[in-house]
Amino acid sequence: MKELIAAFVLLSLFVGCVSQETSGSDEIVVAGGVLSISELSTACGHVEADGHSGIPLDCIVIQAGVDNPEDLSFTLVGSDGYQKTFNWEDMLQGVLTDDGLAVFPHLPKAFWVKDVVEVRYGGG
Amino acid sequence: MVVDKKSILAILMFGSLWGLLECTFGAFLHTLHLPAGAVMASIALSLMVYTRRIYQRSGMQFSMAFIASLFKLLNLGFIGGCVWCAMLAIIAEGLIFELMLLIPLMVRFHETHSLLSGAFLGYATYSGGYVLTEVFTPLLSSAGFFISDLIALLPLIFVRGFNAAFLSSILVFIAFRLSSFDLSHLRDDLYYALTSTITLLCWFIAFIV
Repeated sequence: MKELIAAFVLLSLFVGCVSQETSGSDEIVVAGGVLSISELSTACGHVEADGHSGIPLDCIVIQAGVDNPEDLSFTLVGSDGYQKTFNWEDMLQGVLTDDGLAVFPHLPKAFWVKDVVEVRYGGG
Repeated sequence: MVVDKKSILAILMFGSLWGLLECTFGAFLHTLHLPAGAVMASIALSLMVYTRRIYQRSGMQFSMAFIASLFKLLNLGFIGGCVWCAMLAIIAEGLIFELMLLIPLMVRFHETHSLLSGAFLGYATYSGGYVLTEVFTPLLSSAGFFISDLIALLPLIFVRGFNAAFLSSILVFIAFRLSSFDLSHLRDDLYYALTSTITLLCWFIAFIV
């Protein structure tokens, strides 16, 4: 009986854990300010990275008005809380696809962040 | 000595089955954006539990994980260039399983409560493997390791661990029941032929897929 209860609890948690939603938002928070994805797309254009077309991440940072980005590190945060931190050299190679995936063709996929909602920066 | 030979062949066969599943079924789940890590960790755990019950040898499951990880060398198309990261994740699962069953209390619990111990082992294997991979992947790539990323990721890892816990509880329960079929009691010539054939077949399939 105890094991059945445990199984039920685990099943409930499982159902909760596999239900995922994407933000589907046209906005992204960069360095504390809210930017429109469509405006960024117009300003920066799209480039190809590892078969994915997206907005260059370095352009997004520059559009946000960040000074001296080469001296900083940048943390990309997904809607599920997943986050990864990159230096400027990595950001120069990354793109943000239309469905919010941050692609870094030179890094393992563990570094790709899904449904990016925020880009923070800090000391390099 | 005969038992040793049988154990080695079992390591090769079960490790190869695990590796083949990672290359085929795991990659398939990835393409469907399903929780492939949790599913594969649960399947791996059931193989480790089955072999631990049949062969009663510690260290065997870590060796199986090592064999399984070698399949990633044939699976370059699916893993985005970091073959060591994918291999590490598998080896970490084997290592954590071995470490967990070094705890006497865990062994007793494991023998008496298959469903709950499956959930617990699944949670620990998946979450521990995830953490180890998150620590070592940056060290094996050109990106840096940031402890703040790991700390921020821990709640997510611990929540996702429940997927593995749920699936593992079922699969380990099944593995307990299947362990009444003791493969090692097969006639020697049949055992050697069967394990060798399955091992070779796994490598052949992985090579052509």
